[in-house]
Amino acid sequence: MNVVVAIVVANLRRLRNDRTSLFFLVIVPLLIVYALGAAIGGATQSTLIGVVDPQPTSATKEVRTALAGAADVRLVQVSDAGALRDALARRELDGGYVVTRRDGITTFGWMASATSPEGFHVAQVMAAAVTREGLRQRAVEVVATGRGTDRVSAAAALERANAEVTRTRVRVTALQGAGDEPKSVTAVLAGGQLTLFIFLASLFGASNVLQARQFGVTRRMRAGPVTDGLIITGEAVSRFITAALQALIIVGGTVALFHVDWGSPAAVAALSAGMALVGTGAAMLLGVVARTEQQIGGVAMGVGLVMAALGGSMQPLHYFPDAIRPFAFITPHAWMNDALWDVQVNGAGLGAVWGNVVVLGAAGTVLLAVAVLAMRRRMG
Amino acid sequence: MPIATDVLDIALRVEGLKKSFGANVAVDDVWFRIAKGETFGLLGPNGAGKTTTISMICGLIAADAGTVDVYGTRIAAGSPRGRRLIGYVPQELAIYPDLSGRDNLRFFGRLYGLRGAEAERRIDEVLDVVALRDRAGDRSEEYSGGMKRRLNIAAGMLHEPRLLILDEPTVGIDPQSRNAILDAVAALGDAGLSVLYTTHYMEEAERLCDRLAIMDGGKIKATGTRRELVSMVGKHDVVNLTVSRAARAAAEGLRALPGVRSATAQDDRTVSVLADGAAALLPDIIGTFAGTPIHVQGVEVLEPSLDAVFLHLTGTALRD
Ligand SMILES: Nc1ncnc2c1ncn2[C@@H]1O[C@H](COP(=O)(O)OP(=O)(O)OP(=O)(O)O)[C@@H](O)[C@H]1O
Ligand SMILES: [Mg+2]
Repeated sequence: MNVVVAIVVANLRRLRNDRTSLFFLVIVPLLIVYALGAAIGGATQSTLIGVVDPQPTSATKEVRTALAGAADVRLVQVSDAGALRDALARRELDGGYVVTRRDGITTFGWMASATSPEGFHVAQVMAAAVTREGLRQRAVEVVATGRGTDRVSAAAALERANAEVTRTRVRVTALQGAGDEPKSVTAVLAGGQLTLFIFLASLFGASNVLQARQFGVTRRMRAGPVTDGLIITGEAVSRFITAALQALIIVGGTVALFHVDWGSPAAVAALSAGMALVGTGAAMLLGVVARTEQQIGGVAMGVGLVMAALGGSMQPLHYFPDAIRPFAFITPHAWMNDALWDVQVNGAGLGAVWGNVVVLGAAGTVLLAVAVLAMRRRMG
Repeated sequence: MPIATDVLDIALRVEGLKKSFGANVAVDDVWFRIAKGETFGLLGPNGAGKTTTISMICGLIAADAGTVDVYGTRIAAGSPRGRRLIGYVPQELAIYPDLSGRDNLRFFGRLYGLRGAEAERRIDEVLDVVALRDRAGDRSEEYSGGMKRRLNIAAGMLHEPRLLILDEPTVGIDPQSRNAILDAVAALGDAGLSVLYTTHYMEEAERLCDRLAIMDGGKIKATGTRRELVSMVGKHDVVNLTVSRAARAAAEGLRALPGVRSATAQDDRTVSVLADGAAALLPDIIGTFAGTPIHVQGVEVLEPSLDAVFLHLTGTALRD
């Protein structure tokens, strides 16, 4: 026990003395959460609506004018439906519509990343505009054909006018089902960063394992009243504590500074612990196979960021195309982010996400076991 | 020399140690004992096998054959048994550069179960021994080379071991730090600590050690007190010649001379000659160069010393 405590205390003292690491552990994650929250979580008050309307007609222009007249709406021209979908997934827009014309029928297809009060409001404004435009057209028809014509002709004209009106309709579609709207976008963003930084900080911590070897401290320790198992345990516990500290800093920091609502504390803690274990295993493995600190820096940056991107830390998994989403789950990040979404958006507790916690724990255990074997081989 | 009468009076017993790395036999059947309270020197050039021997004594690597007992406790690689008895100061620094000297010592103290007030007291004591107390709060990476070495030594003696093993603790440091280290080791030896000290500096061995072993090529060539070792060389003297050029060729020529046991070029201009009765041979030695482009510029006849012993036993001078 002495040995484990000695190693952990020394590693924590080293961390305390390392300004760069502290900067990356405390300032950087909180700064990123803040910046992302400010950029996307939207201090902007107006609702941004994307418009896909390659060949405007008088009717579609009328709808546009009506929408633009709504005080809190801003319209943005978008090239096609695909681009609109992407922009919605990136949350650059709050909603949008695509004007299509088939068989003489004009359709306003309304899209939103999720159903929201703003979305309904905009859809209503649009529907009203479409109806108003229809009435106007009908009146024009009546006036144009109603001069000196018989009833039959007038009825027929009205009939035609009616048909014209029904040719324009509004269809409201949401990309996702209702109930998927995060209470706070910042919480979801912070969740992604929590996952990313627990893993990234762990990987960078691999240099402590390498350094203990390089400084000759590991060899020196082995001359003492210790076993290799205790030395390895001491290093692993140090890595775990560092990862857990990173989690605490991000969760605590975002709660204190940005009032982020993380949902169930038990669930967030369990998921963070699972991810910290994964990070511990990865750090130990990297620390034993790496030869230089540059290697560790490179691998940490590369692997840490790629896995974070693939695992939904930079863009929520819910906005991934269906074809790609399953592949995200080869990363531990996806298991954590997926569960965090449930916790933050649907108010799930530990009971609902324990499966993901188990997956993380198992992945961490396997990584750690491989690392321990590699270390024992190197020491023996 | 203290005579060991009981196993517990033997601080260290090394019997038949062997270790090979592939085809390279680093340690070849090494035997020696260190009595309680004795300072024992292991003297040998680079690659002699000193560090490998010490690594086996500390249980850092497994021996191919042989045994190590410290105060009667068998030392084995992979087992922590008996390790507390040993204080190990490795040849390479083994400290965290980003921790202060004091925090490094706290770490090593804790490894051996030292904590709290008792740890702080011991830390202050060893800091005084190595004269680092006033810099104890600074990060060790800010220390000079000699200060780092002194911290390395302090870490080894912190837990009050009964056998202190120092592997070339003075290599590559300034004379002031070196003296501080030698004084500290001498004081520990005087206080009754058993010490195993390796070095390739003859004068350190002469100054510190009660007994010595001369090691070369993985083997112990001779063991004894300085006086015993020197008497082995008998009436052989060492003559150091300073020549104008081509010391190697000069040594070659001298070897052919009757009465010359060995002649070795130490550098471009120095030849060490081991001779029977140097006084009588000197004219012949100098005469060897008559008619050659080599001029003798200086002659120094040395009293029998460990240098001579070493030259006699190994045919090489003890140098880097
Ligand atoms: N881990 C190792 N792997 C392979 N060969 C080794 C290893 N350690 C030592 N050797 C070899 O064993 C021999 C003895 O080395 P050792 O380090 O014990 O010498 P030394 O007397 O301590 O030398 P120095 O004065 O330079 O420290 C050398 O030939 C060295 O190359
Ligand atoms: Mg050595």
